[in-house]
Amino acid sequence: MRATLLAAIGAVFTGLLLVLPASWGARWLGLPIDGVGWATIALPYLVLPFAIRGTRPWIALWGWPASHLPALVALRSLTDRAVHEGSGGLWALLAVAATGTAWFLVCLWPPRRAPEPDANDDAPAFPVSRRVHPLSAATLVIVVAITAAFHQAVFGDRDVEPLAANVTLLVGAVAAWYAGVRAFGGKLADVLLDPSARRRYRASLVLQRRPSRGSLLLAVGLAAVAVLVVLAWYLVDLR
Amino acid sequence: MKNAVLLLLATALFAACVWFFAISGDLFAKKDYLAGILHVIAGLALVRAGVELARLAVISRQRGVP
Repeated sequence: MRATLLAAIGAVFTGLLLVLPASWGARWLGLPIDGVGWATIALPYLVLPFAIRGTRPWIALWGWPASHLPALVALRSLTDRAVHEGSGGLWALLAVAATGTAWFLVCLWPPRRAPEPDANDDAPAFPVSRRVHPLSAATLVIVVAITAAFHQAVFGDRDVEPLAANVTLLVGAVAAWYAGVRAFGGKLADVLLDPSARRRYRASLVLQRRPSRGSLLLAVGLAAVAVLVVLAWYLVDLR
Repeated sequence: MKNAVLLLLATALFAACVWFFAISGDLFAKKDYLAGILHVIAGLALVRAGVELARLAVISRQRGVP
């Protein structure tokens, strides 16, 4: 679960700190970024799988944060005043600070239920996987896909005003955060990795199999209204 | 079998949510904020539905395991 959260938070953090300022600067400020520059920007994404495996804590606490430095040193314009000026820049910096804080909090958070260590055994207190968990990889993929979906809308070949671009990227960051951290790293990882959460979820499913007549009618009504609105939107063209 | 079908449906919902997010990004970029917000809500609902299906797949796969 921790690895899944780290995958989501790490992808969002690198996007906010490096990818979006670089794309922004290249699009509107004309910053020259060559292939080596984009390679240094991609470096944290290459280090991230090693950080989320959890086999060596120094990679998560030092190696991955330090992997952002080559891009920040090689492309000093990423931290230029022109990129982060105004309220949009302030919000971007606050988002970077909040995401970075979340990374270290998750890294340093103690395991929820570590089993008792055996006095006769030198094995670690909790099992450490040597491979990246498929859920962490899926989380990384969904966060990058959502970020790319909003990214192409802003930095595609069209004229987008900077304010609209800021709003788009902010909504994209929130959507990626919800999908990666809340949905994948919270709800799905809980059921997949925690037996007690699995039992609670199974019990809630048993209760939900007997819905009351009122809640059933309400759910059917809401679904019908939602489908009609979508159909009206696309077929009648309410726009 | 049921587990595979649920996982397939969940993957389809995640793909659909990315598509909705791409559409909403286009709408935001065109300054059509209301339509963009509606598509973002639809995308987030699809994420939620996909996660629920994936959770059901986990439960059905691990039947008998506490």
